[in-house]
Amino acid sequence: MRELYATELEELENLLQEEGKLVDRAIRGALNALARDDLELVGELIAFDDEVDRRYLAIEQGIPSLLARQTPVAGDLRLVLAILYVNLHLERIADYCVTIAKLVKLAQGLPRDAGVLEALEEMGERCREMLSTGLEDFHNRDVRNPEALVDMDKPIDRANRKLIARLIALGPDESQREWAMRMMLVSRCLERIGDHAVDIGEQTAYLVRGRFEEFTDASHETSRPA
Amino acid sequence: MEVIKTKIDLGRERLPTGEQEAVFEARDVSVYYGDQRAIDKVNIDIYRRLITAIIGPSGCGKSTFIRTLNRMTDLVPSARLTGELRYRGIDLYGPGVDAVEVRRRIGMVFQKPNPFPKSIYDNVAYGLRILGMKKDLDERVEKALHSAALWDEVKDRLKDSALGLSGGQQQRLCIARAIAVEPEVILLDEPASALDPIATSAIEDLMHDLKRDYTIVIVTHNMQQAARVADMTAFFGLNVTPEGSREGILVEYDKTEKIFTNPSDKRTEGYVTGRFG
Repeated sequence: MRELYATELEELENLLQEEGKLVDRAIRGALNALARDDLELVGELIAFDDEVDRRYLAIEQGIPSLLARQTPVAGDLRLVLAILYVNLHLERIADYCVTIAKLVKLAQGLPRDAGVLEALEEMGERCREMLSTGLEDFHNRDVRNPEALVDMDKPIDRANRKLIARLIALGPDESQREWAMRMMLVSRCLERIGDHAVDIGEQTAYLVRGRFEEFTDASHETSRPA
Repeated sequence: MEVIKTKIDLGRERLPTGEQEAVFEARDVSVYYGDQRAIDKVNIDIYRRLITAIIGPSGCGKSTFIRTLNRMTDLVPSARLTGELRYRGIDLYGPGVDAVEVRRRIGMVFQKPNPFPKSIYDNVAYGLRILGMKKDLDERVEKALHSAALWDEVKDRLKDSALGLSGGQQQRLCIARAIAVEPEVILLDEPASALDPIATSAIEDLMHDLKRDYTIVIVTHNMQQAARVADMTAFFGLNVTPEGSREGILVEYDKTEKIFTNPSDKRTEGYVTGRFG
């Protein structure tokens, strides 16, 4: 048994799950900042991103070191590669949370629409659900229903499209239009978070099955592996 | 009879059927030393002009298996082979097959470089003289030394003793000696395990060059070496019989890339990752 190696691999994966929990808090924080129009929370969120980045960097640096010293192969190699990609997805999700926070700041003082905010909150909660499902399946090497994430992502995509129509209808007033534009970007951020969560599921499938397949492709929305 | 056969497409040396041409076909090959079975029912096809690595834990019979491929096991009085081992369609252990001719066509290089206590030139010329391949002797020696990537290092001291060469050079000399007699297959039994990393890379580069003309089978303890050089990898494992004796079995045989990224058998996974059980 290569104990040190096994421990190092386990530590990398623990770090990834830890990062995942922080990213979930970032999404929750972004949704709260949006719902309460809370500028103080916006500042906290932007600072909080450093916490995510610290884990991101530790994994990013740990992987080449492990590859160079331990030359993982087979399932271990797939785990290392999957961690590398999931790490990137988590970091991107956290960046979207920062973007949402900044949009909240830019939308400060503009007239708000309760219906739109409710829809965004709903989208955000679904994103959190997807992220926790993705990370849990990764942890459990669970591919019983790998495309559940694709199904969970669909209502988010639908909500994103619906929201655009709703935002256009808000009104001709300049401040209304400005708020609508900001919220369109928030919606887009949430929609992208959902996509990254789907990609985490793809990594779980790769890890377990040993071959990579895209669940969905932006250019062929219905494509799925047989 | 289950043959571990795999659809491989390495873009060369394919039969019209699209399959790779098998040089060796082992069918239920078992080897016994006295009553003790060393390897049990190995079924494998070894393909032409590819490098095939045999890996596995100590005592799994990988050296025993490679020695059956050129009838080196004949030299162990108690050794006995059952099953069928065909080389280019001919039963290697069939009646009328000349073991000396087998070993000319299927050369072997061992773990420890074993040059004769003779000059560099005579080491390479030795087999040629014995086999009566004396025509153009100088050219043949030079060609073999070139092929073994040793010529530039020794061309000015061909009459010097081979024992004055470094370990890595001695090993390449043994490879030159093996290829001088124009074999079709080269068997390498841990050819780099006694060498430093630089000499090891030279041998690995050499194998890569040699596979243009030869079929190469290598036994190695060094899994990364197998991963680096081999096209195909066979993993031999240890089977403990109900009576408590240990014998080698072929667990998995596939493209090297498959073995090291996504092996099909848990035992292979355990071995290549260094985590048993």
